[in-house]
Amino acid sequence: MRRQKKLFYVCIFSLLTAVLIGTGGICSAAAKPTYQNCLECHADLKDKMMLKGAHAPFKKFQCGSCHDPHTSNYKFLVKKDVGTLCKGCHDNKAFKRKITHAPVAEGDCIKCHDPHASKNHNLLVAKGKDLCFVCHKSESVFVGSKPHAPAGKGQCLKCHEPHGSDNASLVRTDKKKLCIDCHHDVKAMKSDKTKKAHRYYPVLGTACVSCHNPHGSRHDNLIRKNQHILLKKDGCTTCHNAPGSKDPLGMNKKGAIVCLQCHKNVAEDFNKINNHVQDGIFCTNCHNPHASDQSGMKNGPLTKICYTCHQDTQWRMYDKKTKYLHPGLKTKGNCNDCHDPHGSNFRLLFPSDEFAVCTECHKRHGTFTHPVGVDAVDPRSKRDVTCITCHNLMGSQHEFALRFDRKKQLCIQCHTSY
Amino acid sequence: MLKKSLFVVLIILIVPFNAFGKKDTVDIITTLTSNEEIGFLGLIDGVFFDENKQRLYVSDSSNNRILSYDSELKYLSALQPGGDLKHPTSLVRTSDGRFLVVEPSRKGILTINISQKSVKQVDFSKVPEAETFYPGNIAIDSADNVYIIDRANSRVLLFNPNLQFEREVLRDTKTRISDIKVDNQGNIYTLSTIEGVVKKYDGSGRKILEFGRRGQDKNEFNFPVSLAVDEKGLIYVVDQHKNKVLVFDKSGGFLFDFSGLGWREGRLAYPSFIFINNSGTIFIVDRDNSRISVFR
Repeated sequence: MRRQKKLFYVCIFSLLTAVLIGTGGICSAAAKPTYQNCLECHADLKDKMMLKGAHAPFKKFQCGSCHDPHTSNYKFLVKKDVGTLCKGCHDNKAFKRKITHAPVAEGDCIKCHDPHASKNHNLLVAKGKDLCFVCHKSESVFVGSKPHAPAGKGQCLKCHEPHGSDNASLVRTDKKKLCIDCHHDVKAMKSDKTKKAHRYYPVLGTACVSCHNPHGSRHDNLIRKNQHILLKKDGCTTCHNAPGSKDPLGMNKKGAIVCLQCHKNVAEDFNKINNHVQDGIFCTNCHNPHASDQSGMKNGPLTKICYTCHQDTQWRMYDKKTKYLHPGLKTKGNCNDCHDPHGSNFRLLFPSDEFAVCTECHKRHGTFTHPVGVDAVDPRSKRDVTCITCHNLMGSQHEFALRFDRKKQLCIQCHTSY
Repeated sequence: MLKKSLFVVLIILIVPFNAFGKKDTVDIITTLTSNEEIGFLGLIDGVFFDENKQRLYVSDSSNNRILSYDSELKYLSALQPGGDLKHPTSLVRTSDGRFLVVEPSRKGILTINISQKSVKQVDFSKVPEAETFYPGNIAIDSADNVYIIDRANSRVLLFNPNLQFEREVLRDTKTRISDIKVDNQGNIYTLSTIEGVVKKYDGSGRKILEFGRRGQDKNEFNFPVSLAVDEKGLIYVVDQHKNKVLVFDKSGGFLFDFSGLGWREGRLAYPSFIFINNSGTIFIVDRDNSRISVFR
């Protein structure tokens, strides 16, 4: 009986202890972490905390909402990768639009925002062009000496969404409506001078950026650097119906024939095994038929054009695991150096066989190399060995963009007896 | 008693693991590669299995030939009809033995009748907007009706067994059509690479299912290029840049994927086309490995 009583008291004691620990009642208030101590070491943050627009959790000493004071797998002891961490509270609709700004997609919020405090609105690390032009170099934005007023003043957000947009180039509204928001002086648009400049075609409500560069140009009226020869020669009716017709802006031929009727050499390329034939006037997927600041009348830099469809290539290239790429791929976007964008009878839209493509630049490797071509058979696939048997130029974790570690795995893929 | 209890607990734990945890598996059977007999395979494009003759046909595009293999997948011969074949891509064979071969180089489709020793182009003059027609992949149903993708107009054209134009079965104004297959019930399946969307239509061209998107998750597409449907109605999609085949159930729910980037048997390097025959054998054009990988 005494033994049972003793056991009963032990059980009650254990239960109470468990409840107290569970509810935190046994811990003293002093043991509760206070992040005010953080400033003892991070004294540089004291001044920031006084700023008017300081980040609310930071101001309230809720350092633990983002940081783990003991350990973390991430830089700055943050609890999760920065993108996931920020999006935990800032569930912005713009993040889910069709097109997202690269730093948003990569979760690199701190590229533009200071997570603690800033003198600038919305915790931005800098203002206007001092912010945007860090990545978007001004010389690439302004192709001429005559800037468009908002762009020249660095008022990028007048036209662009900083996080995401459903429109190309992250513009706020459809490009056909965007310009009219400011240039709504219909009287000027209907003046004889304007009509004549547009060859009497009713261009109001069309995409002005087709001919005008919204950032700047070396030409008057912000006309883009290169103009289609027909535009210069008043040859609009070669492609379009006559200005006075029922559908003046309509095309006078169907589909891509309107382009290929003149560009016959390109038409041949589209008849190859691999090609970029699409529906409609598919040439305009990559080219601007009126005016362009790019060579070959392309409607943007190659990275932009190619990634529109090949976004998965972009994901791989920008993947954190990707350490080695073909030089210039990211910066110059020189996809066309190795691929023929119109059509090819070779693999991967190469203009000729892989060995010829690579040795066009890598001439030294054309004279001495591991055996390649029809005399060297890959024992794994039984196909001929080429440069891309060992190299993956579109993104690799290994030195020289090799498919495997050259010191451990590469050679023994085929030379198994070693 | 204790032993009995332990046994029951073990059974309770093991049975559901085996019954529900088992994943569908697809295994490699063989690969059809370059060899001394056929030489180096070039750029392979289309594959078609003739159920009547139990033969596999492969279009070796850059070598301007069609290779045939028997039911045991042993090489039989190369078809090069009088040098008339130029860069053949997609191909089918009718039940009476005529080959229909897409030739982008001629923007047309070639009919090869071996028994009559005749080679002629399919007539597209009665097709609306024929001047802009550009042939993509082709498919054939059990009644020998031929379905042709017109890439330049994002539509599917139907030709009857006599190869006369019947009608435009469907026109997709929102997505571009990259591949097509027709199941034994006459349902049409299309795939859009750029949009990453699979669509299923009934024989009249009415859309009955749509699924898929491009993304980086397991059930999303990187760069889907070809699709096929098996006898059970499962939909197989070849993702060229994932180097995998993604398998979906009848309603578009993701089931599993198989293979991955590699050069050894069973792995894929930039696969470009898939065909599944009635007995469930899966033929995949493993383009960068210059071979046909055969799975089941």
